[in-house]
Amino acid sequence: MSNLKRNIKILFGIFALLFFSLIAYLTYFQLYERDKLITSSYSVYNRRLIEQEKKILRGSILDRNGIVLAKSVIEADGTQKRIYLDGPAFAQVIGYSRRIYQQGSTGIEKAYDRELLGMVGSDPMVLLRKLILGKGQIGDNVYLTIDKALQDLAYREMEGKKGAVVALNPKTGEILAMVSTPSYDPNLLDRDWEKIMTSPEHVVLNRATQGLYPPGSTFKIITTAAVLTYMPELFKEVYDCKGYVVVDGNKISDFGGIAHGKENFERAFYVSCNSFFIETGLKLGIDNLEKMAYAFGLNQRVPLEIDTAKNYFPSIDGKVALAETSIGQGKILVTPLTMALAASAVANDGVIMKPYLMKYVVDPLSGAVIERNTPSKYLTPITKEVADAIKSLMIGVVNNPEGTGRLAQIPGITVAGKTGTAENPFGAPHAWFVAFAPAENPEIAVAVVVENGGEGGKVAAPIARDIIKAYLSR
Amino acid sequence: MYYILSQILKYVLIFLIYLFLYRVFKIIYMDIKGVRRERQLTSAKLSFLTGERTFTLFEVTSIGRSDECDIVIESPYVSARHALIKKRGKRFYIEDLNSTNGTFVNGKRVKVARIKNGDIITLGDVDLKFIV
Amino acid sequence: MDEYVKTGSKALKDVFWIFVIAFALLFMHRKPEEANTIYYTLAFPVLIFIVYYLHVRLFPLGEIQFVILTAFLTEMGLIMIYRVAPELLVKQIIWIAIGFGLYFIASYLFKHYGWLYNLKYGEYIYIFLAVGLIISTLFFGKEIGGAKNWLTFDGIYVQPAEAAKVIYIIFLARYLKDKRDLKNILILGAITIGIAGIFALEKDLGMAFLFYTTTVLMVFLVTSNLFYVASGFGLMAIGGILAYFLFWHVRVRIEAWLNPWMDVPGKTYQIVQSLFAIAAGGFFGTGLGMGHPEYIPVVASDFIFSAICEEFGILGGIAIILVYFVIMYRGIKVALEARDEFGALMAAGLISMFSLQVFTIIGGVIKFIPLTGVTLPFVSYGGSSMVMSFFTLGMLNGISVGEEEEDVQFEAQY
Repeated sequence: MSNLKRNIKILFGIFALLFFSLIAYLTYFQLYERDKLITSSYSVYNRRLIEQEKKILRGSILDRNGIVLAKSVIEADGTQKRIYLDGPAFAQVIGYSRRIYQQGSTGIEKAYDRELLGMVGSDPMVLLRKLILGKGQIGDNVYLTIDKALQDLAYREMEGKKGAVVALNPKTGEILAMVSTPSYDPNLLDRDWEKIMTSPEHVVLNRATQGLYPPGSTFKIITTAAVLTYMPELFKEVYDCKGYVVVDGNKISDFGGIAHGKENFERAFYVSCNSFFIETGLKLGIDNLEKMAYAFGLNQRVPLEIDTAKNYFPSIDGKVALAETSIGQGKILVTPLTMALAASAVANDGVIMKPYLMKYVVDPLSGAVIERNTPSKYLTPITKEVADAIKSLMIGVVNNPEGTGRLAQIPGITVAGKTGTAENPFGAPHAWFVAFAPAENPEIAVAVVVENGGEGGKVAAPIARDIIKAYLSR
Repeated sequence: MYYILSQILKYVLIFLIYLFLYRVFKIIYMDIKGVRRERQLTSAKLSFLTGERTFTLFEVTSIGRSDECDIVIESPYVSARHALIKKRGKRFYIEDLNSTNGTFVNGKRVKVARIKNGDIITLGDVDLKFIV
Repeated sequence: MDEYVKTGSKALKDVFWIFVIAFALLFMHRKPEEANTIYYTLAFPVLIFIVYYLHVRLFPLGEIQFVILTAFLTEMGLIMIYRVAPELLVKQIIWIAIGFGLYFIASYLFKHYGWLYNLKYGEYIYIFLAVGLIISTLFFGKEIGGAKNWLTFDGIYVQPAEAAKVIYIIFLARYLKDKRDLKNILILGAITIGIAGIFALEKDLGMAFLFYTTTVLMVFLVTSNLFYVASGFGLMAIGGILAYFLFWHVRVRIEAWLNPWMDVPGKTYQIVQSLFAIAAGGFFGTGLGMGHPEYIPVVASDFIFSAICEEFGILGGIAIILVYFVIMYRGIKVALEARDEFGALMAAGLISMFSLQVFTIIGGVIKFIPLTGVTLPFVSYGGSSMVMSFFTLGMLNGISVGEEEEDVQFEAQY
C-alpha cells in the first residue's frame, strides 16, 4: 500500500509539472511571441487588426518640411480612403497598406503601420482621455527625412527611364530622396491591382533598395580603398595602359578599347582605366579585396526601415574573377543605396552612417513627438586619411579635363564623384554615377543608376548634377 | 461609455478571480496544516483498566477495531471506527462515530462529551481510563 | 474548522460577484433576446447556492471544494458562451443542473463501492461495456468536427466515449488490483492498444491518447516498474509515427503544430486564430465585450480557453489552470486517503484521465502540443462532457466520503 501511496504522490508531481509548464508557456508566449503576431507579415490574417484599423483614422505621412504626402479621409459611406498626393514619385518608398483586402503592405506604410494606427506609445491613460474628450481615435503622423522638392525633381529626371536615385545626408544618414522608376500611381491600386502587380516592368519594385545591379567602375572606390588600406605602396605605381589586359587567356578591354597610355593612380582613377585596376586588383589579392568589400557592407543588406535586398558578393574564385571584381564586373550585384553609402563613406571621413527614412512620429492632437530617429554609425570601412585620399581622386573625376564625370560640374561648387558603366547580360551597360558635394564639407551624397542607359558619365552624371544643384541652392 | 466600464471592470474581475484563488489555496493550506496539527502528541493518556497498555493521545485520536485507527482494539464489540478523542483548547472531547454498541463515559451513553482526568470510557466491552 | 468553512463560503461569494458583474456587463453589451435567458441566468447562482447547501448537509466529510471549483469553472464557461453563442446559454445551464444532479447520484453510488469490486466477472462486464460504447459510434455513429464519435437520438447528441471513460477506469482499477504480473500487463497492453486503435479509426486521437496514457500511468502506480512506463511511451511514440505516415489528418495536426504559418487560410486556420486571440488579450485581457472571440473557430467548445485568454487575459487563463490544478490536488488526496487499494486506484485513474484531458486541450489551443479534439471540462459547451465530468467528481466525492462497511456486529449485552 505504501508503494502505491508513494506512486500516487509521484503522479501528483507529474501533473503539477504538466500544469505549471502550461502556465510557463503561456507567460513566455505573452512576453515574446506576441509582438510577432501583431507586427509580422502574418498579421494579414489577424482580423482584429483589420477591425481596429477600420475604427482609427490612419495617420498621415509627410515630408521633412511638413508637406503632406499621404493621408486618409472618410468617404460619404463611412469607409476610409487613402489618398496619395504625390503618387508616382513616392510610390515605392511610401508603399501601401492593404491588409483589409488581404493584399499585404509595403514601404513606410508597412514599416510604421503601428504608429499610423496610433498603437505605439498609447498609454491607456492617454487613450482614456482621448475617449472622454470625444476626440475619437486617430493615428499618429510620420514625418519622413525626404525633401519633397528634391524627390519630385529626381522623379522628373528619371521619368521615362528605368533605374533609381538615392540621395542622402552623409553626416547623418537621413535619406533626402529615393526614387525608383518606372513607377505607378498608388491611388489606382483599388482599380488596377492586378495590372499593377503583374506589370512586366515591375513598377512596384523599389529599385533603389531592392534593385540589384553590377556596380561597374563605381566599385573602383572600394578597390582603391583596399589599396590604400592594405597595400599603400601600390598607390605609387605607374602603368602604361594598352587598352586591354589578358588574364588567364581571357582578354578584358577598357571601355571602347581605348588605350590610356602612361598613367599614375590618380589618372587611372579619373579616366576609369580598367587595365590599371585589373593589374592592381591582381596584386591586391583575393583576401584584401574581399575584406574591403565586406567592410563596405557588400555581403549584407543595408539596414533600413523598409525592405532592402541583400547585396550579392560571392567568394572570388580565381584570377579571372579577381580581375573582373576589381572593376566591379563579374558576379557582384549591389543596390543603388549601397553605392550611395559607399560614396558617403568617403564624404564623411570614412564613416558610413545608418540610413533612415523616418524623421519623427508626432501625435497630431498633442503635438508630442512619440518617436524620433537620431544619427548612428553603421560601418567604418576606412580611415579619415584614406577617405581624404579617395576624395581628391573623386574630385578629379569631375574636375579634371579628362575626367569621366565632367558633366557633373556645377559652377561654384566642388563636386566629387565616380562614374560607372556596368556591362550586363541584358543589353546596353547600366549607367552609374555616385557623388557628393560640396567636397570640402559634404551635405549630400547621391547615387544614380539608369538601367541599360549607356555611359555613366554621359547619362547618369547630369542627373546627379541637377539633384545636387537643386539641393544645395534651396 | 461601455468601453470605459469594461476596462475598469476588467481589473475588478481579475482581482476577484485571484481573490477567489487565494481563498481556495488558503483552504488547501489549512488542510495541510490541520492534518499536521492533528498528529501532534499531547500530554494526555488512555490506559486499559487492567493496566496492560497505555496510549499517548494525539490532538485528534481515532479509536476502533480497524488497523487504520490510532488506537486499535481487537474486540468484536468494538466497531471498526468507534470513536474520536479531540483536543480543543485545553479540553478533551470524545465523539462517538455511530458505533453499533455505543460509547459510554462513566457509565452514561454519549454522542459527544467532555472528558476529564480519571473518567472511565467504555467502548463495547472495553474500559479505558483517561489521564491528563 | 470554522475558518475552513468561512473561507469556503467567502470563496463562493467571490464566485457570485464575478458572475453578477460579468453578466451585468454582458447584458449591457448584448441585450438578451428572450426572457428565458434572463430567468435561467438568474437561476444559476440560485442553483449553486442550493447545491452548496445540500452538499454541506449531506456530505459533511465530503469535498465541498468540488462545488466551489466547478461553480467557478462553469460560470467562466457560461460567460464566454453567452459572449459567442448566446443561444446556447440556456442549454448549458440545463446541462450544468443535470450535471450537479448526477454529481449527487454518483456520490451516493460510490460511497459503498465495494460491490463494484465484488461483482462476479466484473472485469469482463466492464471492459465489454466500455469497448461496446466506444465501438458503437464506429458502426452507428455520426462524424462531427472530424471525428466519428457521436450518436444521435432524436436530435440529442451524445458521446458514448465519455461514459466509456468512467467504466474503463473501473475496469482498470479492478483488473490492476489483483493482476500485476507480466502476463497480465501484456494482456492489458493489448486491450489498450486495441482501444486506441478503435479511436484512431474513428479519428478521435485525443481519446486514444487519454485512454492509453491513463493506462500507462495506472500500470506504473501498481507496479512501480519504470520499464513498463518506458515501453508504454515507446510504443506510443511508434504508434504516433505510424499514425503520422498513415493518417493524413494526423500529419496535418502535427505540421500545424510545428509551423502554424504554412497554410493560414486553410489547414492551420484554427490554431492561428487561437493564437491571435490569446495575443490580443495581453495580461489583463481586452475587457469583456471588447475582444473578438467570434473570430475563433469552434470557440464554444474546443477553443473556449482562447476566448477566455482574449477577454480575461493571460491572468484569466492562468487562474483557470490553477483551478484545475486544485481539482487535481483534491482528486489525488482522495486517492491517498482512500480506505483500500481498489478505491485508491479508481480515484487515481479518474483524476489522471481528467487532468490529462485538461492538459491536452489547453496545451493544444496554446500550441504547446498538437491540437486534439477534446473539450475543456465544465467550461466548454457540451452535454456529454459536462455530465460525465460531474459524474467523475461525484465518484471522487463518494469515494472520499464512504463509510466503513460494517462487518457483522455482535449485539452488546447492555
